[in-house]
Amino acid sequence: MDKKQALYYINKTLAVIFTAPAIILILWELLSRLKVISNIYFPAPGSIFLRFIYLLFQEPKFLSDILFSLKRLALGVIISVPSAIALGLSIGLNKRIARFLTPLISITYPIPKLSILPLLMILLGIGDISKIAIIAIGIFYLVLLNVIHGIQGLPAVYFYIIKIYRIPFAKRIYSIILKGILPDILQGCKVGIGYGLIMVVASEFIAAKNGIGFFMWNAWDQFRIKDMYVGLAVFSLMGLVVFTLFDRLLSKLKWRDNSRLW
Amino acid sequence: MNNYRPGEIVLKAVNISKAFGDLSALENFNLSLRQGEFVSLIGPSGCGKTTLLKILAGLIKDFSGELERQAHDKSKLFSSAVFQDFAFFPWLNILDNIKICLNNPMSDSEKNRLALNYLERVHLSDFKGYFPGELSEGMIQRANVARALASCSQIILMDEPFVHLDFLSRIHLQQLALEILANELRTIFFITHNIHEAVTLADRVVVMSSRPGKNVGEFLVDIPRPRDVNKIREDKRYLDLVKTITELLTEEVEKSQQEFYRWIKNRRSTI
Repeated sequence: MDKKQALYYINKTLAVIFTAPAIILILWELLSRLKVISNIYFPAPGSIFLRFIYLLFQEPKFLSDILFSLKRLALGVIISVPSAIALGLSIGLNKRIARFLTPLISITYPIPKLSILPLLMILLGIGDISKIAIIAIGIFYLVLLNVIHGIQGLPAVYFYIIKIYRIPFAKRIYSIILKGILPDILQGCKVGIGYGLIMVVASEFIAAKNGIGFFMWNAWDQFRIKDMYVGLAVFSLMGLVVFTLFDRLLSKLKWRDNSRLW
Repeated sequence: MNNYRPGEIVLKAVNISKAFGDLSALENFNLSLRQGEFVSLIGPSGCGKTTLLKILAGLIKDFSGELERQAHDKSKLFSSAVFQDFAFFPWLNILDNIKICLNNPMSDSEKNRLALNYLERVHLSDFKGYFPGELSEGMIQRANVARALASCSQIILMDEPFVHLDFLSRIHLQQLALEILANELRTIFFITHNIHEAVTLADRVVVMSSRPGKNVGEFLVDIPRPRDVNKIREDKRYLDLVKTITELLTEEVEKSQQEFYRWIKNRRSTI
């Protein structure tokens, strides 16, 4: 029964995920095959998929490019998410820290993160470290803002209870504040990691020797248009995985009203 | 027999005043709570009752006046509180919600025993594993009372705990409160704007004026315990007291309305 139910949910999720993209892809396939649109600039999705399979199994460099991109993203997440949560907690729970740091956040947040990549490359070198740094910075702000927003949205009565029953610091942070803002943390990670993917591709366009961004840039350089689409597809799939994963995690929080989740 | 035998003063508020900007919420409010007594505070809405409770609970620190606490045991909680909002963490079940608030140095099994004991008292032990979202409002408020009792605090502050409940749940909880309190002597400060509730439950009723809140009268409720929520309504002493307090409160409400009209007039003339 349980297995059956699990299968049902997986099938349902897959159906939901692939319906809309499938419609567009089929339309695209037809238009491209019938040469209504240029099949050089808009190669048929089927042929892109075959190219993807070919690259995956015949070109070891392609798989390693994917893994390099994933490694950069993972390191960016590992660095940025815990620090954003820690800083968000201290800003959200301490007015002095909030007054001190909020203006700083306000003036640094709107700076397009990519515009500091050249500076980071001077400071940290053109290797992996500057790339991971720019990815981490991109994710950091979105998680941070969501954490702060989450704490501000907690009902005042939670804080009354904390004060009145003198709930000790560790319990207060772990069992109340962090659990209470878990939906905001997940939401922050979702948009943050989505943004991190943008940072991955952009940072790999510049001075990289590997990664999917590099692969795409290289394909553009050599006019391998199909390969550019393969690169796009890889990022799309990563985005799909990230969004689906975090939406499913959100729906796992049974105490929330999940009736408006998909 | 009347078992109203208050002990020494455990909490004394002297000339408490508090203003929010130019709005004066409390003005020279005086109150003393004695060990083991049940005091109801009644007053028109918006008169500063909740502000007073927050001051007594230590949630508001910037007020003028003095607050004297006579703590028997410094290691124990001095005051706990029950709010009108259903103050439970939705991601913890009822038992854990109570246990998280027990912070005396005791083992987990002791906390369990204590929490279960009080859940039993409010007839909720079958629901210990339920989450707040799965319980009715009346059940949550019962659990809230259980939490305050389990915390073993010297005094319990209650801010209109039954105000959101329907009539029947309210009667049920009042009766439950009377039964629990017949068994254990607790010092309770109970805010309400329901005169019947105030008189039914309390040993002493304090009447608060409309804003700025002042203590305008105190009445001893000389009705023996154990009391019964339904039978007490036919008691002559009960009826007399309700009548006296109602008249006093009506006066207060009228006064505040006249003041309000004056205030509006002044505003109009300045505009």
